[in-house]
Amino acid sequence: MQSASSMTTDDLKALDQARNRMVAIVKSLEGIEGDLMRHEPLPNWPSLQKSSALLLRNITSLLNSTTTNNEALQRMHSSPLATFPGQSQSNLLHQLLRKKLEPNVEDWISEGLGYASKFCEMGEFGDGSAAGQTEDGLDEYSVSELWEWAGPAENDIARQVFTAEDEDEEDDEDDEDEEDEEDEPMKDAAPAKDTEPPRLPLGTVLTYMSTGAVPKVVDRAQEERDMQAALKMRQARTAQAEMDRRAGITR
Amino acid sequence: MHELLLFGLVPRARHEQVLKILAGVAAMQPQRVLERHVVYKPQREPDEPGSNIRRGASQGIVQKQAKQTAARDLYFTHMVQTLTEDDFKEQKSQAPWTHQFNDVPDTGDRGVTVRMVSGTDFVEGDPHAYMAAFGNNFVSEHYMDGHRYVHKNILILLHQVLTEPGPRSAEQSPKPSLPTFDSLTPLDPSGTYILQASIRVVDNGSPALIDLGVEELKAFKNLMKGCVELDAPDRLVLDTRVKYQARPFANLQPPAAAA
Repeated sequence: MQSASSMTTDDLKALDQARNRMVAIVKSLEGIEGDLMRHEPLPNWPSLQKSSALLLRNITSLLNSTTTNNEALQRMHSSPLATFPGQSQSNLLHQLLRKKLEPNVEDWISEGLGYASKFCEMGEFGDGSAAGQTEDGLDEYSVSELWEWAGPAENDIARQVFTAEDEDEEDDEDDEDEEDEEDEPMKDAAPAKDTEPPRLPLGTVLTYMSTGAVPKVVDRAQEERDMQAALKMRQARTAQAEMDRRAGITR
Repeated sequence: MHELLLFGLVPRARHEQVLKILAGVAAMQPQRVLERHVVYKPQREPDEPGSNIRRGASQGIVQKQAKQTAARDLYFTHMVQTLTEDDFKEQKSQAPWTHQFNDVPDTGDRGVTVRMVSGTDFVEGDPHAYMAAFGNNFVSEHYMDGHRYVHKNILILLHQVLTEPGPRSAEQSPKPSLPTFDSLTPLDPSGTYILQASIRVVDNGSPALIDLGVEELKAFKNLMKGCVELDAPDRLVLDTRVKYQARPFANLQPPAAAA
């Protein structure tokens, strides 16, 4: 390790943060692995999705912390102290000093990059030949465009499924008299959804029921202003009195 | 009489569905409930908290023997009239009134709201004149529209608060005639219904009986899980005490006027 004297507390903090995030990642990976191994019928998709989202969040936070502490982490390099028990802990030492990735890890990475390069520009990593050209004709731009559209569209569909129960009836009507009133159901449906007022919190209604009035919002700012004005007035008065007194003395 | 309460919210879109579910749970048809609530507030402003405790030195010695009583709380109370839809058609009602008092819910988290309630039937005379003569000011009135079920010992009330549209502050007394039912608008613009499950324990606060009621109400909460989430709200949203409002700087003249 780098000699402790040149490590600032910030550097230590960066290292510690990275370590914590990695521990979290390892934990969630182990969790997923355990789930996949133990459950005889595979765990249902919501739970799988939940754990993958968790993993993704952990990875994102690791990336964030390493990016912010990029400089410090770049500077660091491991070099054993003379007092390190090299004889007994040689395995650990080798692991610490090894710069190159393990062969199987390298395989994973190249495999992942291979998949990624099928639909997006990989720069120096990709093999270049396949970049931007895919079997199904989607490049990076169209993929991101697709997802930008798909997110809101999926939300819309979900909203229709969960909220509007009379959607079918509207559709039927629409089919019957499509010529003259084609736009009408849409006109009805769209603003109704937008202008659906937010519901009052239960507490407000209960307070109204018990005291006959909607709870008054105490205006802290107004009180503050009142107080400031009063203080200012008092200060002005004392200043005025002081000036009068002085004027009286000099006269 | 003690009342144990749980509340839940039902969106307007699910109102019909919940009505049917509750009919199945309680094995009875929903009973329409229409109530007119007139809220009264005591005329006297409440004392400043702590004003009963002597401050200052010289006066305190003389009056040391004086009995120190706690500041008495003042409460909002209701006059309630049970109506029918016919009353709204005729725009007047001869239905009897009940004077209703709800205490602040007990402290202590039992998972359900526990409060003291009392109702006094008003036999004859003008209820508003009676309330005014006892030093109460009219605050506002609202209507409660809902359906009631009885399931074991539990009163289930799925209701909505309706108000008359228009400014409310100008009125000094309740309206002599009823408005038409269609002119009433929900207090909550989204039309959300409130599901209130309650048990009334008449025995004078016997703890064992109240615990039994709490258990039964919790069992009902579990039964309704997934349909309507019932919960005990914060006790202070059901606070019926009149609040002391200190506004230390509000009566000062603005600086422009003073100068």
